[in-house]
Amino acid sequence: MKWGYEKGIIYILPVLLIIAFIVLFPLVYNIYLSFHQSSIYSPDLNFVGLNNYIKLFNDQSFIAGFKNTIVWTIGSVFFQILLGLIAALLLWRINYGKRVIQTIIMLPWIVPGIAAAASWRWLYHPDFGLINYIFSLFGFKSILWLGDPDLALAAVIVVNVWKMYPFVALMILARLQAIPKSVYEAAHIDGGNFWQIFFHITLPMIRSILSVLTLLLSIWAFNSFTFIYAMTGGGPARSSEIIGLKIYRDALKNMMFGQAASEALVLFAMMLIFSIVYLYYTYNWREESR
Amino acid sequence: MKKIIGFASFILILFFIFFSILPILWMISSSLKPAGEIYSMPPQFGLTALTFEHYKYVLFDTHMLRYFWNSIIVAGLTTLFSLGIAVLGGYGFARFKFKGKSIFSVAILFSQMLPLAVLLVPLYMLLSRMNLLDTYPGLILTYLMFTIPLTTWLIRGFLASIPRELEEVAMVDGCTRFQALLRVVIPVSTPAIFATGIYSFIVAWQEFLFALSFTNSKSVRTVPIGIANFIGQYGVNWGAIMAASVMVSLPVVFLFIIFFKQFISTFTEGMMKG
Repeated sequence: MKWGYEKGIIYILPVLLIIAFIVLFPLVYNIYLSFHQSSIYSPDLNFVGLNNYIKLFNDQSFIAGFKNTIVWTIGSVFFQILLGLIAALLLWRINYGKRVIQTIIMLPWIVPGIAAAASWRWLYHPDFGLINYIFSLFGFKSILWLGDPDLALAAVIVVNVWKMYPFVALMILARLQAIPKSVYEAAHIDGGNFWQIFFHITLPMIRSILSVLTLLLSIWAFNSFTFIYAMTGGGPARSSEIIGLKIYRDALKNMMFGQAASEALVLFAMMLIFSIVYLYYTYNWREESR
Repeated sequence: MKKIIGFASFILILFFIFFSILPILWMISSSLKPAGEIYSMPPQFGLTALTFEHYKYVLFDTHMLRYFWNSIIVAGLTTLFSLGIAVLGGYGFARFKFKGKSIFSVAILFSQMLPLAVLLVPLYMLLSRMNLLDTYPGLILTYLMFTIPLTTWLIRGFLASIPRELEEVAMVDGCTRFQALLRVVIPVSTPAIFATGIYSFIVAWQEFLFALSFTNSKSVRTVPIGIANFIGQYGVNWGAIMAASVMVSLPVVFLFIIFFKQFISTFTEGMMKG
């Protein structure tokens, strides 16, 4: 039986068409748009060269949004990985009721983002929220979690961590369970203690999945929209506005398509550079450590 | 030492369980309390007076029922289309060699990494040109972009593990390759196809940014946008919002719990391969 070369393309053609039509073409079109200008008063596109880009770097709200995006991404990813790793290590050791506990811990990942945003907004409610009630037991006055410019972004990061740490735990747990038991038995016989075993056996085993997860989570955090939109709307006073939200606002509320396109492209370039540098370093590092 | 670690693990496990489940339990209990108890300080922890008034309100006095219908149509059709396309694509990638194959597979994975914001403006203008804004097909087409790359990838991984002899026997018996795919390959891969289908459904069911941007009428708008508008309304009705949140969560949580094992194994194995 001959496994033909030519016919295979027919099977993947639909996939390629979809990708071309709703990913590649828009990407190119976005680049084109970023050199043009439109506004709510004049919806036609006029060529303006690099003008949109020049404007960006003088735009305070873009720079603030950019900073918020960085804080949001680093804060989210760090705690998602940390909590996910601890949860995975714990789940791995459980012998009793593992499946039930695992299902419970996984639930936030499955609950739709908007339901999570709504229920956390209710938890954060300044007057009737459960969180402020618990804080009041310790003598705190009512805290405006989502209404305080210093707290709002952090408060939403908590929700993002809550939503995604189960996914991290799931992936790490899957990797841990693939490690042969004999490796650990040998380590115990050799008299390794808890931390030695963790740093010399467990961590190297999960290093590759950790680096993949870090990249994935960073991209997802860069891309987030729902939580910020539904919980703070970027406020108060734009203190929690991330770039994704600004792009949405500029494009669909202010009809500044060209401006929004150039913002999106800068975001994309940042992500691309980050991904390439990240992959380059993790790859090199792993090569060296062999 | 061992005892200390054991005790610390126990406490930590409890912490994770509470951290994960408490917001969900609070959402459910708030949706079942009469308005007077929702707004009481200190909060009512026991459910003394169970009521379904918020559910009744959401279902019959708002447009939410229509939004549920829209969500079911959009997520259901997205799932069907992405499975059809991904099974073909996954099969093509698993079984054939062709020029540029590796470039295509990199492109597919790469498309998963694109910032959605880059696609927002051009897709909006594209759909508006094609008069597909605020329509089911417009939204479904957009969602295929989310689901196709990963479903194709997962199914490819699974199909590659099925022995070729299976189809070869069918083809010796007179099937065409496509018939062999339909009658032999698909039946043995049902569990994996099913799991990726659930993934597509969950993705489409909870998508927010594009549903918000590309729909504006009651006849197409999906549940997540309905809930967001609820929150934004003047005079927020938290009981109703919590009830709507419980309702939007139920189908996906239900699917997840029932197919937990299948879903987890397909997903983790597929991700590890990739």
